[in-house]
Amino acid sequence: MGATILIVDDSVSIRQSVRFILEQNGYTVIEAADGLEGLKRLAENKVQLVISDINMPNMDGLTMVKKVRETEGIKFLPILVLTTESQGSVVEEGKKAGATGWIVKPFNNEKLIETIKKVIP
Amino acid sequence: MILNAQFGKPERYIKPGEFYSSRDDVVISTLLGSCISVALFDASIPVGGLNHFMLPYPKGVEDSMLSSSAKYGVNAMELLINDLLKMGARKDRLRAKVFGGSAVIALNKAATYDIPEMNIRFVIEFLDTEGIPVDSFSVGGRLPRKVYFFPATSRVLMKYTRSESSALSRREDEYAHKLVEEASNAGRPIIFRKA
Repeated sequence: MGATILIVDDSVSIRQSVRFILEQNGYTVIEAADGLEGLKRLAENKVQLVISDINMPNMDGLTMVKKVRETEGIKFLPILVLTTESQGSVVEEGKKAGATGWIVKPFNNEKLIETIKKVIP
Repeated sequence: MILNAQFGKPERYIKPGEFYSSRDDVVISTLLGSCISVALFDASIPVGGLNHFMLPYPKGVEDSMLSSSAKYGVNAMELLINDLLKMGARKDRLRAKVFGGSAVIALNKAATYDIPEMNIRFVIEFLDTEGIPVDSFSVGGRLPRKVYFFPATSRVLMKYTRSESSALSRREDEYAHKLVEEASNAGRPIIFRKA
């Protein structure tokens, strides 16, 4: 049984395509539509990695990253940001918030899996 | 922006691969062949935007929303959606008008794939999956379309045009090939820290 990965994205299409690739590679996937729901899923499930979008309603991805970094038990959970944002200043903001890594959409399937394996070997 | 004398408004013309959104009383225009343009808007703000994209030619037989070419379409849509959200739109209030997908490229290219058909199918499926209602559309056929979108009123004026067909076809074909190139060296992931 592979690791469990939480996908946080407000776009159903993105969640579907990421889920498809992850499941093909043996991972178990759970989903959330925004940061708030993401935190809820993290409280309910044992998750080894989070892949999160940034621009989402209710709670954006970077706020969620900061909250996770302040929460006992999940403080050190790896979080990969998967976003359309490629601007240096935004990437820097993500690093400061505590993201583990940054992947710009449209992503390449092989590179996504490679990155996941580097973060959770 | 240049002034469009016919409408008496500033006009922003967008090329393949571009998008533009605004809260102002402007006109956003484009010329479409096989490509797709979606006018997306939240009339309660009001704010609206227009994009102009196509899916890269598939490498193998791919026929689903999960294909690697579809990801580029999802991305084109997401860039526009995010831009609108930043201007105050709410995703659950977004509505769409869809144009393009005429057989301009297919005419001079004996492709294995029906490019316009693939683009049309993609955008309709995407909007359906995301729960964005389609208020009107004009897709398919053989003639290029000129589209004018007015974000302040969510109105679209569309007309068929015959004049620039071959130049347009060449431009879109170049754009499609550029996409394939971009697809093969897509963004390198960055890892900030070891887990």
